[in-house]
Amino acid sequence: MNSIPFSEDKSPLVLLDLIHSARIKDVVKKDYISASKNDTLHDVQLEMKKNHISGVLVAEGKRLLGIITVANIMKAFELNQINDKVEKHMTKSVIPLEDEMPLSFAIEYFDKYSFNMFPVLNDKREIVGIITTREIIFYLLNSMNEEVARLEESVKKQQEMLDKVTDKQENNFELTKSKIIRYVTVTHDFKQAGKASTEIKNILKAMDVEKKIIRRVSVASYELEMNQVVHSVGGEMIYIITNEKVEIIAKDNGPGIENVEDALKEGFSTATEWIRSLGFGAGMGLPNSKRVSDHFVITSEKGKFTDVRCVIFLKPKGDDDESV
Amino acid sequence: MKFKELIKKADCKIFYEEDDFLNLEIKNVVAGDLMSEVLVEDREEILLITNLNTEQVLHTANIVDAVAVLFVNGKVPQKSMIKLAEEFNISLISTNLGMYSACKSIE
Repeated sequence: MNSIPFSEDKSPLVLLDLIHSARIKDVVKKDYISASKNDTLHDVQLEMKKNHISGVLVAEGKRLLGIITVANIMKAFELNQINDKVEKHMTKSVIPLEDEMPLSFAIEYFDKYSFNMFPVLNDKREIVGIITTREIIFYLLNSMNEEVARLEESVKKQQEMLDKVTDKQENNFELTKSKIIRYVTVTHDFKQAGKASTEIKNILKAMDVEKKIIRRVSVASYELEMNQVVHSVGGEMIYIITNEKVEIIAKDNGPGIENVEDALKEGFSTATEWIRSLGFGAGMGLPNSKRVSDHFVITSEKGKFTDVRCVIFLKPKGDDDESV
Repeated sequence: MKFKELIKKADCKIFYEEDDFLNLEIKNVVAGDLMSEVLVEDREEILLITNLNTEQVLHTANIVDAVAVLFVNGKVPQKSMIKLAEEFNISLISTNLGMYSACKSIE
């Protein structure tokens, strides 16, 4: 069923979660205005004017009898029935929503019918309140606000954690003469992608490594980083840098590669159209990083992880006399 | 051909320029929208010509040590891209010409 008026495939999960998990009872307006069947249409018209509303429920206690809308009032004026009783002219075929329904139902109903308001009933068919697009907009804005604040907070925490880890490792550097750098990659985060590779490039530059070798490390690093951003559910890029070599460990948490041999063939790709429109997913990532590496090992388990390790020596072979 | 000649010929707009960029000789050109293909390149001092208008173009250009990026079809780089260009010392220009004509205008 295509229920809500936007694509469920392309929308952020947070938003979909919100409209499917929220219930109409979370959004319903409980202080609604109602009329009795014995009121006159004129009474109702005054009530509507006073409260700036376009519809009033007709109720007997908690039982819904019908609804009076602006259209009913206008017709009554036209036919000189404005002093008639509500019961005579109210709209009886009302479409109610139930308070336990997901919010997506309400959105669907507003999209499907041209009403401005729906009465909301509970499972005993008693009136709980009404729902208008106004309630939905406010509810969604508030919820999104909370959700974004939560996301921002978690990103901040993650960064603080990373900073701590890096600090520790920087201290270790003095002892072991090797430097370990870690970067977390996030699925489809094309804004952050490339940062790890840029930093590694700068470190190697500062170490005075030969330009061509820096480029090989950067290409391997960047391709593996992009691979994680494009294909994985998220992972980690770890760099172990010594004076002799750089080891890159690109480890992600899935979904794993069905056939590693295929993935190493140039042009083989499982990337979607929109990823390709960003300039990636041409099926060259793994072959490219293999091409620039001195050692290259890939292991993967479908449904679990992919782990790529490559080593690039920082000095051309046969030129290691100085390193003693 | 120098960059200033290309800028004149292809009527380019400059978004960021390194010192002495205009007098720099264009040595190697790579044109394409697939960044992985650009990464295979091993020549130096590249001018990267592309339709693609994302931050990843700058990261790619940085990895292959490009000296400049030329956007075709009137693409305008976003602010964040110009910032990256400054950080990476890569000049940024744009032309209204399409990919083919832009490439053809380089001698």
